[in-house]
Amino acid sequence: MHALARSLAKDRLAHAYLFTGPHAIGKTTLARALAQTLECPDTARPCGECIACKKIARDRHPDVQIIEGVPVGFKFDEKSPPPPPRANDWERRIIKIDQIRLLQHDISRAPFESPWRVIIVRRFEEANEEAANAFLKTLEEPPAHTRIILTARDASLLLPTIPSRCQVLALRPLAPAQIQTALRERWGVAAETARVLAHLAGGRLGWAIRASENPRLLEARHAHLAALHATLTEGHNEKILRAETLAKKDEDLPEMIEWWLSWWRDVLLTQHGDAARVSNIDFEDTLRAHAARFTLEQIQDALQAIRQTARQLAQNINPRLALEVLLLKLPA
Amino acid sequence: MPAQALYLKYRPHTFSEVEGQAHVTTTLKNALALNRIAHAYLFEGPRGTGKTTTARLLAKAVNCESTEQAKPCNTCAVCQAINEERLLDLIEIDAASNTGVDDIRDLRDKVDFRPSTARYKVYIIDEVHMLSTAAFNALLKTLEEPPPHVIFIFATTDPQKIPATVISRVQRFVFRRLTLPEIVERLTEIATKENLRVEPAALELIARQATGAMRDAISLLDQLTAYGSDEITLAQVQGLLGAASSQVVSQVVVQLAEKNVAQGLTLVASAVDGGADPKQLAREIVEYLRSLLLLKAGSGEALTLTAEAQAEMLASAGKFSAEQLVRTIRLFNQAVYDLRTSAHPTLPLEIALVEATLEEPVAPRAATPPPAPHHVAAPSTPAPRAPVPPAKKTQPADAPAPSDAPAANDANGVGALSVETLRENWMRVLGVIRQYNKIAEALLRDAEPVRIEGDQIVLGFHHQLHAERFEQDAKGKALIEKALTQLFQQKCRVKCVLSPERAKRKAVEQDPLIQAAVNLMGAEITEIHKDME
Repeated sequence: MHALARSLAKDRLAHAYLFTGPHAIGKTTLARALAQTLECPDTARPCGECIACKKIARDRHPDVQIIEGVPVGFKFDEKSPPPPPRANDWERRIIKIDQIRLLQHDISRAPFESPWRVIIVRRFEEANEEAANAFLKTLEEPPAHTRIILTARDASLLLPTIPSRCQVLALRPLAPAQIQTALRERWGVAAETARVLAHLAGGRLGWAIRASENPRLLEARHAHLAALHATLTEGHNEKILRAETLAKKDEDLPEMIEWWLSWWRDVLLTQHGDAARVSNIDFEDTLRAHAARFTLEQIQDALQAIRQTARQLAQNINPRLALEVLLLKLPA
Repeated sequence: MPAQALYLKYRPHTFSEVEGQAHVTTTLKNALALNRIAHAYLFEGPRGTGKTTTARLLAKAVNCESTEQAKPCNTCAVCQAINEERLLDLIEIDAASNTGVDDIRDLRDKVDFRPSTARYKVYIIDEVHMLSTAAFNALLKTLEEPPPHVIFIFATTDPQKIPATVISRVQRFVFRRLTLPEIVERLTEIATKENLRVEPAALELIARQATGAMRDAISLLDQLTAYGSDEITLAQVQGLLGAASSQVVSQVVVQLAEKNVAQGLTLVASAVDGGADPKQLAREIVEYLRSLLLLKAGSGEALTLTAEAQAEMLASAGKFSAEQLVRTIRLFNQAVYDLRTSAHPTLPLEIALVEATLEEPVAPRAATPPPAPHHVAAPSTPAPRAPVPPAKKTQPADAPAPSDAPAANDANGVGALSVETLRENWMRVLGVIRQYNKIAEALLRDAEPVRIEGDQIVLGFHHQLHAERFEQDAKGKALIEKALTQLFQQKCRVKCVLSPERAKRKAVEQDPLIQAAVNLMGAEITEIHKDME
């Protein structure tokens, strides 16, 4: 962030940025902040008080456009309504070439009320091939009054010619302690919750904030972990039945996989006495019990099986079958 | 007004400024001098190597009004107009946004009009690989015989997508990746002009990171200028890239060698807390292990290392066996791949670390591939079903499995031949066989050398049928023997058996879970998959 602040101070802002990092780490937040800094007339930019800043914070600024992929099968044209908000982090979306063309048309005009036209394209890894290619020339030499900010999970998921045209800033995970402090001081979260969330977030402040505002996230996690713990002592028949129930809510599966992975990672770390880095700190006792119960090889097998299932699920394999195999493979 | 990006500001204005593409620029300069300009060019090459730049230079040079030899002059009216992007006769088209046949038809209609001020009308069609098939075809006639005042220049990173009919109508120039010294040289030049002081080591890291793309390198330098201090240091570049210091990387590798999981995890964690990017770290570990592998293989001179670094690496290299190194590199490579999409920022790296320190898989875990020397011999062979050396309990009477010490193989090998060499050269053997009998070669793709018994080379087949066919077919066996003799100057006999796969199958059939499935539901074992890594 220092780099960005200094470029602002020196008025050496690049014409295109690419912010990369895991979901909910704060890419779009940073992009908005950058937009505010550009548009804010105040000397202490961004002030957060002026009309421009407020408009940007609410995504209402006419010269700051945030573009996002549309759901698969969504017809996009100039008159189409804005796409519905994302159901969860794992929803599959596409940025289409028509969106990019419309964007190119828009930025050919001067900004309405502020010095810059700022274009924020979220999750550019969702752009299909045509869209990404169509953006290349614009990205290299955009009109003078334009600044483009892309966000993506990782630069290597994009066409290599895209990051080559931007200044890439990789956002790094925060240490749990930093998140904990931030949650307590700026969002007024209770101390104990803040501690748990900070460890669970895996360095993603955005996620921690979301989880503190939306208890459903934590409840879902409890359910997923409870399922994992229960299945470890079940017989074959129960496992098959459980796979069937789990597979019915297949939109939750990617989330479940992540939690299961993080669980086994913690068991692994606990076994190696590295308790400080454990993320599921609210289950310490179970973790210790599991660390004693399973061998290193079993843990590794479990991790491998879960990752394989994740790959299979991403490849359109029947979720029920994949889960049955996974549950049977988990150590007993 | 914020400054222009450095890579735009320092876009070369003369051919001699285009770094590292002498084979292209010299040809073009000579063509200009001799006035032998073609009507269509195709510039292809990876990103950031100078395609669009050279296209614009060429446009300038053909239209330059200067009487001097060195074109473009950058002083005449036309050159200046192009530099200021206001010449009407230079038409730059973004083919990726205008992909359709209608765009090309529109272009075709306008081609016939004469240029307004310049001598030639130059069409630069950038990202040309994105044109649709119909668009390409619509262009063919115009491209073959354009009006005398028109020059087409195509630029692309992806020449495979361009139809052969287009390629045959253009002069093709291939831009290559820039070498490390070339990038460093250009960066130094820019740094001097911008009054920046940069540590040489920092420049080198920037150049390394750019992997041959000049734009990436300059862009990175640009980003670093924003750091604002007087001198750009190596530490700053590392900070920006999230690169860990080479110290950390070599320490992690030492822990890997000593199979010290806890210490390794702590090292990784503290590096990440200190601002290192997990993916970058995994990549550096791979890079370091690769150097170890090269050193071990005796081709260390390919790495430009200081003497002390080399000594240190040699010491670490001694702690690994070659198989172990390859296995570890695989694991970390997978981690790099998984880190791209993992929600947990460090998990894949940690998993790789733990897996790498685990002992080699033991017998009951035959599901994961054992560290067969095969992996060392031919890491690129696409053989996911490589025969697994027999688990000891199923074939106790047989000759030692190939996973045993290579020395054992040498002892009972056929002369100088070992299973390793055979496996390594199996594709070559097949190549020879292919010259004689294509069907035999196709069938033999199913097989691989398993072990050597006395003077017999045992080939393991995946299908009983194929094994039997070759075992009973004297001609077929003779063919294999002939090929082996031809390649290794070594007489030998061949025996064809079913691969150890069968042994595995038996083991699977005895699994209580599978038995239950067979008995209760009438299931059938059709295929055995080993767990994916």
